[in-house]
Amino acid sequence: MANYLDELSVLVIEDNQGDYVLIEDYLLEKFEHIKIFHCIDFASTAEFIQNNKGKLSLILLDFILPDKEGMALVNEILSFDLKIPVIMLTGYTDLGMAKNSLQVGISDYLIKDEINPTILHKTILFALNRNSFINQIEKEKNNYENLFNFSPQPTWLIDGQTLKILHANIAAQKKYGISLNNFLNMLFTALHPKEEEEWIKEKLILKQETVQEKHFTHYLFNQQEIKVNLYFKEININSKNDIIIQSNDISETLNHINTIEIQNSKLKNIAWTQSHVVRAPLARILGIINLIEEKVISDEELPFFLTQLKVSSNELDETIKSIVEQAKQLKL
Amino acid sequence: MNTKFFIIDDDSIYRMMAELIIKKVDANLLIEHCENGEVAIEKLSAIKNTNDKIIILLDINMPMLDGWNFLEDIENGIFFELNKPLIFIVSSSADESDLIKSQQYSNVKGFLQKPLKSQNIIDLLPIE
Repeated sequence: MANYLDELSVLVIEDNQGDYVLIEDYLLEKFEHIKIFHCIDFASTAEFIQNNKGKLSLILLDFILPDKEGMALVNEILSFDLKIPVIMLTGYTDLGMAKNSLQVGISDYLIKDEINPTILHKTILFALNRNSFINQIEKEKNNYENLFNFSPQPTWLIDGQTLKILHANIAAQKKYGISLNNFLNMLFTALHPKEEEEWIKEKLILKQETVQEKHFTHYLFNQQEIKVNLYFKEININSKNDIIIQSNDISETLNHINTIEIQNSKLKNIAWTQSHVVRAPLARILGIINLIEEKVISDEELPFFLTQLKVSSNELDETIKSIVEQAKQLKL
Repeated sequence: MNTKFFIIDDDSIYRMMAELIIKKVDANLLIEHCENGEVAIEKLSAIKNTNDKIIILLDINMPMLDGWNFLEDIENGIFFELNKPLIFIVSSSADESDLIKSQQYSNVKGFLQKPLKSQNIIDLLPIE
């Protein structure tokens, strides 16, 4: 609050000179560093505001000016959109209207006959404080909108009940090739193929937020299919439950996995060949040697088995060549 | 009671070598050559009621009815009248998955790697 005391500049719009002097006194009494500006009608006020935008901290406004009064005056002042508090100064007779003006954006009102330095001081500080909170919330709303819009991840805001799309960020519009206007006429489920519609509807309405275990299919504008993971979270806006959804295109990842699986099966095939095809002639060669060692083969049979030894050796050679060939073709 | 070997393998040279080995161990042992599982099933069907001890040396990788299909047929009780044949898987494979897979079949009594040696035959003969 200290900073308000440092550099407060107040515009008092008051045509009654007596009232103005009184207020000026109170202000000077309570605020050490204050600049007070004074306008006596709407015309001069409008001109002053045009020339001093951004310099004012607060406006004190009499309800009835010679050239404009009542709600018309309030609306004109508010339409300058200064984002600073406007406090009404009013008599008992205009109390009803003062209350109404609170609804259109006036920060507070003070009854002239009841004003004293303390009340004025407190009212101004409260109004400034409240205004800074409101501005902060406005800024944050803006920040969140930027976060939403500039996220590189396609993101939607949808109605939690009807699943109607309420907003789609720039990434969603680019990725899906669908304009914001077209999105706004769609249900979120329309991005999915028919057979997935019930499934995604159930997930979203039952708020099963962990939908990552399985991926979904989404259609782009040109009916091109992509595979996506969806992440969503319920959010509360103006006491209405909406859902914010992000999609993550995993088509390429799935392709990679597929490629790896194909390679794996090729490698398995090579391993199987190693195990079976190479071993077959090798086992025969070892078997023949074994027969010779165990002296099972007679002299008459020997030439036959020697021929077999040669046949098996050639077979082994061919097999090894073909494995080398297979490994070469495997693009790793 | 005779002991009869069924050598089920598509490789005729291997069958010939196996016969030589078996005969060396005991010349009285009987031997049947089967080039695939189908032939083996036929020959086994023909001796459904035999009292002989049947030892099957089964190669797993064969064309036609391969070793695994043959095991399925035996397991499914096609030869319920026959004394339980003792089956030994013979493979050129050094693949452990074959060994593990073969242990799922109750008729399989052992797993041998090619080439067969006379010691293999001596070892399996006492198995009941």
